[in-house]
Amino acid sequence: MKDFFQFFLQKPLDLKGPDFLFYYFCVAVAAYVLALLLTRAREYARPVPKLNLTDPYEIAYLRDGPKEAIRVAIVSLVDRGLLNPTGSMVKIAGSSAIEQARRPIEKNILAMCRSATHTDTLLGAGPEADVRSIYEGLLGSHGLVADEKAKQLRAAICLPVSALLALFAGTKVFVAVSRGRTNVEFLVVMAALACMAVYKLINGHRTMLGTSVLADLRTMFQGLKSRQRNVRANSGTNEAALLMALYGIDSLPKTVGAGFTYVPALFPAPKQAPGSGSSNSGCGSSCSSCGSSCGGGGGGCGGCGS
Amino acid sequence: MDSALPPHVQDNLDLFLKEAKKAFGSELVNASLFGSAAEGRLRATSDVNLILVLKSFAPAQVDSLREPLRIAHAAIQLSVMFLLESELTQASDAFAMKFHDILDRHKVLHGPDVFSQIKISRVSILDRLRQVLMNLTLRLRERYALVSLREEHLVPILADAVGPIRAAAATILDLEKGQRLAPKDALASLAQALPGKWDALLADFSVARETGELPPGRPGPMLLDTLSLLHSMQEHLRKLA
Repeated sequence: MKDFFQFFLQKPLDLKGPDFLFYYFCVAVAAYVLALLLTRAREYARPVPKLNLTDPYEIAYLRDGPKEAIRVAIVSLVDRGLLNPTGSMVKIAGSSAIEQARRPIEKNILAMCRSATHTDTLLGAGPEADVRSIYEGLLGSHGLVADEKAKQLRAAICLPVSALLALFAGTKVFVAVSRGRTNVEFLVVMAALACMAVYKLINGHRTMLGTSVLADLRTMFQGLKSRQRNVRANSGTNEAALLMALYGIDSLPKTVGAGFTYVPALFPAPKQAPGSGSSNSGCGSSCSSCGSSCGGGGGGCGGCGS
Repeated sequence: MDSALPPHVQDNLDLFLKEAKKAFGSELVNASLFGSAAEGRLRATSDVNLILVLKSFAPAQVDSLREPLRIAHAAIQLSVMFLLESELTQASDAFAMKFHDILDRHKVLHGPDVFSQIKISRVSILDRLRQVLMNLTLRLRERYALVSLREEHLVPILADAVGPIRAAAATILDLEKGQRLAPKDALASLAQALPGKWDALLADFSVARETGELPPGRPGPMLLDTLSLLHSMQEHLRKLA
C-alpha cells in the first residue's frame, strides 16, 4: 500500500509508458467517480416524486426514451385489437379505434396508421418529437429525465473533468513526442475512452433520481417479472404493457400459447450493411493488431518517459 | 397463523386499500383477504384475493378505483370480489364452497368481521361441491374436444382448473375429517385415498400453474387424467353424502 501511494507521489510526466498508463487509468477512474458523485448529489437534491403509475408509456419513456414508449404503445395497441399487424406493418383495426384509445400517444399512433404503416415510420423523428412533447416536460419537471437544463448542469461538472483528462493526456503526448517517441496510441485511446465515458454521463437519458424511481417501480412489480412467462396476449389487463414498460419488449413470453409471436416481426433487428460482417472481422483483426502493437506499444510507451 | 406477506405484495395491497377507502369512504364496510394470502402462504403465481364488502356499488366510486385495480392486478395479481353487505347471505348460499373457505381463511384489513355471523350448512356445501366438480368435468371435456389438437392452448386451461380442484379437495377433507389443510396439501392428501396413482398428475399441476408450460405431448393426456381424477373425487363425494 505504501508503494502504491509513493507511486502517485512521483512526477507523472516522468513515468515510463506502462507506469504512466496505469497512473492515467487511476486518475481517469477517480475523476469519473468524482463527476458521478457530484452529479448524483445535484440530481438527488429533491424529494422522490410520485410517478403516475397508471401510464405504462410514461414508465417506458422513463426507462429508455421516446422510441421505447412508441414501441410499447404499438404492441399494446395490437394486443388490444386496435391495430392489426402484418409483418412489420400495422394498420388501424377500424374507424372507431381512435375513439377507443384514451392516451394521446395511442391516438397519435392510430391516426398515423389509417393505411398500412411500417413501424420504422412510427419510430421516426416526427412521432418521436410528439411523444417527447407529451412526456419530457412532465418527467423533466420531476427531475427524472435529463432535460436541457439538467444536461447543462451535468456539463458544468463533467466538461472541466473531461478537459483536465484531455489536457493531462495531451501534455504527456507532447512530452513523449518532444523526446522523439511516437508510440502513444494506447494513451490516446485511453484518453478518448475516458472522454467518451464522461460524454455518456452528460447525455444519459435518465437522471440519477429517475434511475432510482425506476428501480423502485421494478421492486413494486417484481411479482409481474417473476411470472412473466404466464403473461398472455388479449388478457384485457395491462400486465403485458407494464411488463414491456418496465423491462422492455423482449421480456414478453416467446411461447406460441402466450400470443406475442408477432412482436419480433414488428421490430426486426436492423439489417447489417453489406461488408459489415467483414468490418466486424476487421475489428477483430484490428484488435489483434492492437494486441500485436501491445508488445511494441508497451516498449514504445516505455520510451515515452525516458 | 403467520400472515406476513412479501414486502412488495404488502406495499401494493396497502396502496390499493388506501385508494379503496378514498373511493368508497363510508360505503366500504369491510375489506378482507382470503385464500393463501390470508395465511401468508403466497407462491409466486398465487392470486391475492380480496373481498370488499360495500353498502352500494356506485359507478362513480368504482370508476376512480379502476386504474389502481389494474395496477394492483398487474403487480400482485390482486383479484377483488365486490360484494354488497345485503348480499352476504345470498352469496354464501350460492357459493357455499368458496365461502366455506373464506370463513376458514380470511384476514380482516378494514372494518368489522362481517363473516363471523355467516353460517353455511353442510348440505349447501355438498351441493356446491357436486356442482363445481360436475361443471369442471363438463368444461374440460368440451375443451379437450375443441382445443386439444393445439395442445399448447390446453396449458392455461389446465392451470386454471387446478385452483378449483384443490379447493374442492380441501372442502371434502374438512367435511369428511374436520381436517383444515391448505388446498394444495389437501389435494395431495385426498389423492392418496382415491383409487389410482395421481403423483405425476399433481406434480404436473404445479408445473402448469407455476411455469405455464408443459412438455410436448403431455397436455392432452394430462387433461384426460384430470377428468379421471374429477370422476374419482365425485365418487368419493357420493360416499360422503
